[in-house]
Amino acid sequence: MKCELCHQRNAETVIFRKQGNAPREELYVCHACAERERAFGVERGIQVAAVDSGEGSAAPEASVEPHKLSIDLDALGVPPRELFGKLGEMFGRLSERLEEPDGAMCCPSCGATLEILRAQGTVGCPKCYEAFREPVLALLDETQGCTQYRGPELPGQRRVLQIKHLKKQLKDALAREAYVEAKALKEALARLDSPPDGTGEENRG
Amino acid sequence: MAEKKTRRQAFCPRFVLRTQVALVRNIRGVAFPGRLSERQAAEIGDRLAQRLMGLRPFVDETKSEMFPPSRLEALFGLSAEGERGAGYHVLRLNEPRGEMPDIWCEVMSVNHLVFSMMVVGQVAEEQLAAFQAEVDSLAEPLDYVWHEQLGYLTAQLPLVGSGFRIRSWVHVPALSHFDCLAALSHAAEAFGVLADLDRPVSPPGDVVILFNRSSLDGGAQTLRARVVEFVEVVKRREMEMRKRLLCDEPFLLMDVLQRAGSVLRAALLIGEDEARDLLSDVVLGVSLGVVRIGRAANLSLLNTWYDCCSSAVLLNLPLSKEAPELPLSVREHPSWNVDAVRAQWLRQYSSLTISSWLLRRV
Repeated sequence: MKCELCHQRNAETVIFRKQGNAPREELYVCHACAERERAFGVERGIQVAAVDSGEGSAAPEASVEPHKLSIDLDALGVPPRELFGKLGEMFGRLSERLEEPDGAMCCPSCGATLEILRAQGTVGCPKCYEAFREPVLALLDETQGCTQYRGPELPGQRRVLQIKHLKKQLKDALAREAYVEAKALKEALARLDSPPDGTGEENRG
Repeated sequence: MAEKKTRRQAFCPRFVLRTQVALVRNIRGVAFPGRLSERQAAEIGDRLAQRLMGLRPFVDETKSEMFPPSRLEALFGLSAEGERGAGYHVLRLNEPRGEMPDIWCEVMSVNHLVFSMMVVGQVAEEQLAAFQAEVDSLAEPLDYVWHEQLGYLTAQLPLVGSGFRIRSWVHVPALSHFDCLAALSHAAEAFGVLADLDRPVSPPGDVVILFNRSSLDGGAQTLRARVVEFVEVVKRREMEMRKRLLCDEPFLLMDVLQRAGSVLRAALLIGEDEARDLLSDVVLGVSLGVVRIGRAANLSLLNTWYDCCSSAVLLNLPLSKEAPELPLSVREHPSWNVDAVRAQWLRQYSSLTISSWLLRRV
């Protein structure tokens, strides 16, 4: 079936559109048109009630409950596996692909489900990018035509890469029981971890 | 000779009315918008705004009298009042930088930052680079969330990568007369951009072209190059249609211009949409060099008025100064005030003079 708006691509989703007092309209559209309706509908006085796979359910945002525990852990900036050692590591691995009771995949950090991602086209938190790696890459390929950033170097990355590199070196040093080297690496890490103005915790939100 | 000159000047109006450049950034360690309760979002939004103001001389314009919310939306393309959730703040960088316009930072609910600037016409490479440098200078202290493979991460997939978005307001009255706007909107997708009609109901109109699909594929300059490329295509089509109006269908053109002049001359109240329609016709006529207007016949002024005749902007003008000759009865009806001021304001464009060349053709 062709998209009912552009009449060119195949219809892949359905939107429920309501304009003023007119009856609710059900349109089978492609992703591009669905996205356009969502982006510009409000400006034209059109309410796009829900966008999804033809079920006609309530607006997805109404069913979203915040996943408070995960967010609090996340706000600390420390992954669970680092807080709880081996147990945490196991938990981390298990929860990476946490499943809801009905079998739908959901993000271990914010509780966003794949359904929400598909319906709204929005991602809940940075960890969703790992939890839903394959569908996210597929959607990026569809919307942007590529799945790898090809622009210039992004500022602010160098420090993070350095931290990552130092952490790896520290792990190696500890494995070799080279404690003097490990101490120096720890100090270097501490220097990199704290921003120059000493307000590192505040920017964690 | 004069006619030749005016015809040479034709086809070179300000084609892109204004351009908004926006950069979306999110802070590491917190969920994206929509995943926290309203209370948590408000709390984090307030803290983030305070943190930003500690880093740079930002001014919080959230409750400013100079820039009330509706005016910010109309003049600078910031988010509409209805989209502003708990913890929303509008910050303005108050350092004058020569040709650089104001840079706004919207702290949307939770940790979603939208930096933006609005320029007249097309955005210049230097302006774009300066804007990006300003936002990038905050990358280290704010710790934007990013991914090795995907670049900057954000809730909206089209913006993942560099986070850039360029929105251009393009005035295409001739394409609109020939009912080509829907086709134009569809054609935009072939260029990897979103395009939509600002006012799809009544021609002539603007097209708002949203460029946001090249975020992974390159940086700001790549996106700008695509904007320029697409706008050039639209411009070519618009010019073809203008030539057609001028040469093949002069009677249609004259009819449009005469109607615009008559309504401008006679109306006591003019709504926002109607005002844009009329001004659009006048801009078309003046830019084609086939019409002269009575007073202040200046195309750039016309373009500015075309931008500023929205109710959101007019509401904030001191009404008595702008239109001292308003009838008393209108002042007693506040709901009519803005429409009456607008009609008064536009009256100076009522004395259109159609060129003798066009009259001979018809």
